[in-house]
Amino acid sequence: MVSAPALECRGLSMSYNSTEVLRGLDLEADRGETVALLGPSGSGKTSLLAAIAGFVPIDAGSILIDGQAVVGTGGEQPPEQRSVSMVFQNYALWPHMIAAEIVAYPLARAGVEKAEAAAQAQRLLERVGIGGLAARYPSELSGGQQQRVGLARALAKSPAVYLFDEPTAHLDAALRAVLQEELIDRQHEAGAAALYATHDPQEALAVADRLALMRDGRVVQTGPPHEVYDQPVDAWAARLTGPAEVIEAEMIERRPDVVTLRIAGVDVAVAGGGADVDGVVTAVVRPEWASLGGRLPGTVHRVRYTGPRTMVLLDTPVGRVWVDSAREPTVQPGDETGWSLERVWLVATP
Amino acid sequence: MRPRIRRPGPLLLVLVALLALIVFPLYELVRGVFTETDASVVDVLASPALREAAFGTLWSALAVTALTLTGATAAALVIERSPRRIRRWMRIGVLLPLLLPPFVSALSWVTAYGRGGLVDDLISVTMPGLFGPFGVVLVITVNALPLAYLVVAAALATRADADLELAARSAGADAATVLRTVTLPALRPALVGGGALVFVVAINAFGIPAVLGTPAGFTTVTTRIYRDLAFSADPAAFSRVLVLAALLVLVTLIVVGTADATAGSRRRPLHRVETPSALPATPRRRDRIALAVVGGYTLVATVIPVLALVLMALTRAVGVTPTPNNWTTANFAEAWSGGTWRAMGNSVVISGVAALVVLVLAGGLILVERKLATRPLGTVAALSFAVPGSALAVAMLLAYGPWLRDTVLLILVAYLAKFWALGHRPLAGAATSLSADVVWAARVSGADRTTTLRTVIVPMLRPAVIAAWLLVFLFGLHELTMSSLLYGPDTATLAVVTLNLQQLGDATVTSALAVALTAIVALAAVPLVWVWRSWTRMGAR
Amino acid sequence: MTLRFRSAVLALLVSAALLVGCGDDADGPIRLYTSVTEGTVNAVVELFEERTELEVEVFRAPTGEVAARIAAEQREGGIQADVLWLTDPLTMQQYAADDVLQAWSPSGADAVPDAYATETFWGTRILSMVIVQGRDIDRPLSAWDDLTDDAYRNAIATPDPGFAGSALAVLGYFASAPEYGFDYYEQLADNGLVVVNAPGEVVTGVAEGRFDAGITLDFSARNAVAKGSPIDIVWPSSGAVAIYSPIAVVDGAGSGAEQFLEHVLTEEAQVAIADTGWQPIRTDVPWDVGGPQVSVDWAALFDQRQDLLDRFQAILDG
Repeated sequence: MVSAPALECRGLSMSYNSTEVLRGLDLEADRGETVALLGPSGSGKTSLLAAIAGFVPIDAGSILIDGQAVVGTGGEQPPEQRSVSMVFQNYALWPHMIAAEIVAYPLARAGVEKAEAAAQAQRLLERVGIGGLAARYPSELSGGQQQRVGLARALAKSPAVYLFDEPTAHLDAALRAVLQEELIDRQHEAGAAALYATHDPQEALAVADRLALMRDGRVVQTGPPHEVYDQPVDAWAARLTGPAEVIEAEMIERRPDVVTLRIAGVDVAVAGGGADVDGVVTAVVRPEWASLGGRLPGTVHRVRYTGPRTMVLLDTPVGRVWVDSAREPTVQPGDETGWSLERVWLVATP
Repeated sequence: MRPRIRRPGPLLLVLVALLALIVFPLYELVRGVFTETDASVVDVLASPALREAAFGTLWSALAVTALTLTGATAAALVIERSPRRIRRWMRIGVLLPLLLPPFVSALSWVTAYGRGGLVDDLISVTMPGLFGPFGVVLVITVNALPLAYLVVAAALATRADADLELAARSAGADAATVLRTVTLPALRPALVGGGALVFVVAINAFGIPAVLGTPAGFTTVTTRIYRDLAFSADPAAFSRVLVLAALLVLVTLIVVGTADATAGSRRRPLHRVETPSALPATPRRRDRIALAVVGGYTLVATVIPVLALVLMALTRAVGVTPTPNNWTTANFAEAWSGGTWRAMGNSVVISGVAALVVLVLAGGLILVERKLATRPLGTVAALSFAVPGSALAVAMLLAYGPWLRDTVLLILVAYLAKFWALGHRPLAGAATSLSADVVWAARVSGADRTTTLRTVIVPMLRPAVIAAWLLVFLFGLHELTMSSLLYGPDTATLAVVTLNLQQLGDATVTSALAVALTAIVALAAVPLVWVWRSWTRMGAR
Repeated sequence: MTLRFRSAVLALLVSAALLVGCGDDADGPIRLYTSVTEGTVNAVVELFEERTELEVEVFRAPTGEVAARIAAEQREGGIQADVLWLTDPLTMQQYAADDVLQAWSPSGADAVPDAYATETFWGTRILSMVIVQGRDIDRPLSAWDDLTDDAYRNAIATPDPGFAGSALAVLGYFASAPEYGFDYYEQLADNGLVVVNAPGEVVTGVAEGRFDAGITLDFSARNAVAKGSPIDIVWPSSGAVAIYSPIAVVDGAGSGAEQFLEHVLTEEAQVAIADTGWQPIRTDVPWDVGGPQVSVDWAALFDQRQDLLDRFQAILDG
């Protein structure tokens, strides 16, 4: 028997103040899988998490956790009965409890005996690296420490689904990395799924087993991170997941995984695929898919040195293109330079 | 976010309470001006005695406002920027008068600096003009200073943190220029708001002008109302009362309204600064001077007067030296004879019940404000705090006197109207810290509705609830203006009994009662300090 | 419409009433409004309650406040008091003129001297208004006229006639006495007369040294002297102004009120009054008067209360 996915959302619709925030959304998360929800603010990420947790009633659709309907036909389960944990964006720590009490809270609710709950809470706090701060009130903790308490609280419950509402916001990069590792470790061993909402593409790509792009209350693309990154459904999706420019080109020939395009009068054969269109096409170009030197004409507009690599912005007859080049800068603004293209992804012309 | 079924309970409660406690009484007051006055309003206003009272009130209130704002701003700038170890003591020194009921404060100044007072006994120095406008303005200022200080200090922490000044200094401004161009402008909304608050307090003042003004023939609108309502059977006096009360309300509304419009309170601070971050250590010499000035002020304004009052309470008779051989406890025994116990019971019960009901009303108001996301109802309630007690009491008499006269209910209703906003403030503050997230975090941790209420919502609100209750309770114990106009045979409050005793003239017994009243207030304030501590530890403000 | 709104509001408040617990009904205790000193009232009421087991509810306040309360109650539909026991006959006469007092013949009224009795109210005790002076002042006083002496400029105090019935009575005496008249107050005002609330405040002020001397009740001054205050009582050579403190039953108050009034006139109650420091009205109760007393022709002053107060205020307002 195939076990049911940890989380299954079907046709979720929800409105808030007569604005539709979810429009027939479908999403699935398997055990051990981390799904990153990437979308700009207002795309419905937080609404989706709130609907799954049971904070907000949905208008239509169904949600199954562990194969069990928690909302849909047959009523609505209140939040406390759903097998869900949440890490909140603004920590949401109770100011009147010390860290140990906060972490022990879900255990107490689950009927764990007091001393045992306290011991488990201490272990969880040690696990997130703040075992020594168990007796502090939230106001006596730094932002990062508060976040760790929030995380320990979520871990205390061992649910089928972890929900992370942009949990690393306000945190410095080093701490982000620590937390992300922690999340991934824990959630794999618990055999649970995690839904990780964020608007930061790098974070989403790093965290996710699967990436789901959200726009206007719908999932517009889902798949393994590299696939979503390499094969965006449209220019919007491309820009959402990382730096990307679009150029116009003419389709000359199309073979599996290789297309020949005429760009500024020059015919080039490059790896890639995408939308099945002829004539004038719109091609996504990521910086690392292009390099300096080659047959394509361009003028250096700006040079940005970032340490490990140098980014060069070119003015070309088909639009501006960022080109990624290793090593120190070799060109200056105003220089005429040739460039070449290794890969493109074709999308529908907007 | 949850489109819930609209429960009309809180809205109904708030609307009915607003109508009953504020709108209807004030309507009756205005109606009374036109129906119950025999002479025309203009004639009443034109009488020299009234003009004098109105003028006296206005200029003394303005003087108090100017003095208090200057003093509070200077004190806040000095104290809040001092090192922590001395800051605490200086704060306590400035805030101490908060514990003294205003008229007790006035009594204590008389026993300290009046002819035959403690200082006169010791070094033969008396304060010229203590009785009269100078003394009235001075003592009201001392009493209003803590309120203004709190407002300015809070603004200093959120709006004018020390970094802003350092930035200005490094931009080339000298200390005086920084004060003029950065610090004071940043404090402007607080100064306008605090100024309006002090003005309202000053115009509201009754106990202090009653003790220090009346004997010198200096009349304010509040003492005039008291005199005309409580000591005159002349029908014309009642007309005067109505016109004066309406006048007070009008002036207050104008002042508060103007302050509200000009304060520009929408310009919110960028962030709240926890501690003066890059503040350079202040020079020791400056600290010593600051400590000496604030210490001297505390000594003169609070310590000596209270000491004089206690000594007077302990002394056998007026006019004998307050040395131990003349000490007695007889004054306390005499003070607590007769109706005093009953009055104390009244004070405690009325204040306690008022505080409880205020909690319910304030809670209702918060629910309504959250739901409707509008503020006008709250503004109406807040205005009722600004309406001077004298006017509010007259309005209550007109509205409910026929049924409730001589019952504690009449005083209770007046307290509710006056203190609603007072209880609302701390609760509303706590309610904003109670975000949806915090509640949801409990639900998703496995707590059902009632458990969430029990383990998260109530504990989080508890300090605010206790603080609000205590605050209203304390103000109720303090309250004299309204209860002195509303009390009946069995409903005198402790403050009223003290005032009556004072007017009968026995200074030793009056002092004993005043000391006892202050002790009770101070006792009730102790848990408030404790609650405040645990509150700040929780990080809510 | 207003009425209906009022009753709705009232209904709302009833719940609060249950919380606070207040009782107020017609058959309740006897309501006594009085300006007599607390200790005296308590002693007399205690005796009465012991003897009859009736209950007395006391509103005690200075004369002006009692008068203001009664005025307010009259405005709102009738006096709530059953018995009025006041400090001076002028204030009481107002209510007799308003026809709110019961005309009757209480038992024991014959023990009250005729000068202190009317058809509706009877004297219960005598107040003597005297001069009080600081013990250490340079020029001791001896007569009322000394108060206008320039030596005491701005250092003479009087209680407020609008506040204290005793002061009102003194005002009446001086105003009607041919050798004084309002001229006397003009002179006092010119000499910087300070008006305080009550006779007790005059005594306190003199004891503290705020004033050199003042007009006050010998009762207040005697108490302060007994406690050790550095003051002396000056019995004016022309005699202290004697005021009688009247009591009356409000029309329709019932038998309890009548019993209380009769009780105050009994020898037992009169002894209690004397024990609390006041000269009893009954001559058969022993009392040591401190000196000569002048009495006032109260009947001649009866309708002049408001006029007296207005003229006093006018003189002091300058």
